[in-house]
Amino acid sequence: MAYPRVTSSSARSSSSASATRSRLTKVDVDSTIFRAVSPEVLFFHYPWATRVWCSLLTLRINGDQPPKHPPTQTTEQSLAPIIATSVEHPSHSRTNMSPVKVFGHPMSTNVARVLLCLEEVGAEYELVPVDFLAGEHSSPQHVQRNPFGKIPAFQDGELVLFESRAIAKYILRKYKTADLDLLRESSGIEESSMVDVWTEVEAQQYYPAMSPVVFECIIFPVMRGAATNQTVVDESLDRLRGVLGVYEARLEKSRYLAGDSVSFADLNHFPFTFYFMATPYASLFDEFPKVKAWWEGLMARPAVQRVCKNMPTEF
Amino acid sequence: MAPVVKVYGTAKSWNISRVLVSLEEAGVKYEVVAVDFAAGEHMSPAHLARNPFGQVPVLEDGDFCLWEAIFHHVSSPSLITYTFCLQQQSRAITKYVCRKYKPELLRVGNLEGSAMVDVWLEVEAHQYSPVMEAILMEIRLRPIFGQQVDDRVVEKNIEKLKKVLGVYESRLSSSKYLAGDFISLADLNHVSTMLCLGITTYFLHPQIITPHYDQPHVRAWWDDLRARPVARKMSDLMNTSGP
Repeated sequence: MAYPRVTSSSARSSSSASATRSRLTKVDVDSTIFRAVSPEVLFFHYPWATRVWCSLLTLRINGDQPPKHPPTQTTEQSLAPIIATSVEHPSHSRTNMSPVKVFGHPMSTNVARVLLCLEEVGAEYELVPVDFLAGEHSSPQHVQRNPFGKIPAFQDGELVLFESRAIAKYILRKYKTADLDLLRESSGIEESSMVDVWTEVEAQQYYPAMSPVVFECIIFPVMRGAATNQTVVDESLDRLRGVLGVYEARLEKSRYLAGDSVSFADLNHFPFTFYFMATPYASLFDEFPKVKAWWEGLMARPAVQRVCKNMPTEF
Repeated sequence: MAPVVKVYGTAKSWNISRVLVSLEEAGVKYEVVAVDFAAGEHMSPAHLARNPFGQVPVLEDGDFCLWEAIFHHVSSPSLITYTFCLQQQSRAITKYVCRKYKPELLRVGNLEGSAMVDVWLEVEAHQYSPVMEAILMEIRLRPIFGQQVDDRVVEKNIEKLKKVLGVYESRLSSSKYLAGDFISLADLNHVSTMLCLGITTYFLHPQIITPHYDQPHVRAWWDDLRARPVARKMSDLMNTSGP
């Protein structure tokens, strides 16, 4: 089944002070129950779960027609995937670069990671859905982009990439300017090493401690109707407490993880922490005031706010 | 005289050897300084000054000291848990070594080349190594501590490994090395884990070797890596260093 691709090639409205998302084409979601969070693990480790999730969701995509409802600045848990281009970053002109393509769903944590980087650098992009229900992730076309059949995949002209952190780094290097170097690769080796270290820490320590809580509290109950395994939750929270203790100590000395301004290392924490905050255990962060302030600072970023709009907060 | 880089840890562990492989390839003079966990040296003031978590690897390059924060989950503080926790923590260090001493291994300055290196670095970190480490944990570490090997875990992970290597085969059919026709850190990061196969009692175990050797391009790639001087040196170091 060919899955129609929507690009927001509709005429760009002239920017106005209030039109932070004037270029959205909203996709109607016809579903009474759209309660799923879809971190990438769901899509590959629990394909059956993905099919259940997809069957709860019917997308109607209006090709070139105007959307049924005007795009709204919604903060409620409308779960409409949004085919969008980001607003041009006010201080950068990106119109000379053609849009890149991201394949996947904006609710997926790994897709969100990539979208956040695109939003931070003000790049134009096109978000192309991958229809899991129709098995599109296993199709030859998608496997050519991502040989593990996962999301996201990415395309920039002839270049095709997969693995969200690799995609994110490519984006941050391509759109780097003198004022915007989120990898710190022009700043000297010690600074870029700190970004590398804290990026690894997120992947290898923070995420493994935090993710079981999200799975047990949100994903498994929603997808399988399973009861939360409190032992797993308690053990993970214990581990996460240890991790956050180290983060607290780090953030005592440094405003952000890799230095005094935000970097890729900080941004990496956004997607999964966002979902953690929707579990009953969000108050764990209250025990770590520096960490909490750091997280609130991240959430206040305009780019983060834009990506959040496509991620559910209630299930 | 150039400052000597010091690596704290033991060459036998695959995360330390990952760092050493990158140092060897970059042609950097280094010294491995053993940290005696059994004697509690990792918690000594001297070592804590290097790494506040009392962990390894730690790399000292002149005045710059690089470690990765390791969060040891203290429910079962046996050495096997330590080793297991340590295994993930070397990749930022290997990147540092390459950036400083041999940036071509990361294709620094080349947008597409560096992206391809990153892709396969991530694949090694998230697809290949977790599966290999689960296998090696069973067949290498458990016997050392007199623990029972869980064959079901081994079998399950071998099935996963076959799928991952299928992707590698497909990639290496059109490309000499993982990131392109040039060797990169992405290839080198595999060496330490694969060398560990060479020092296990399952060395000739068909279940472990066969998934690699069944795929002709994977085999050719591995034979090429194994033929590099660094692989022989690491193999020697791993066989002679302490537990």
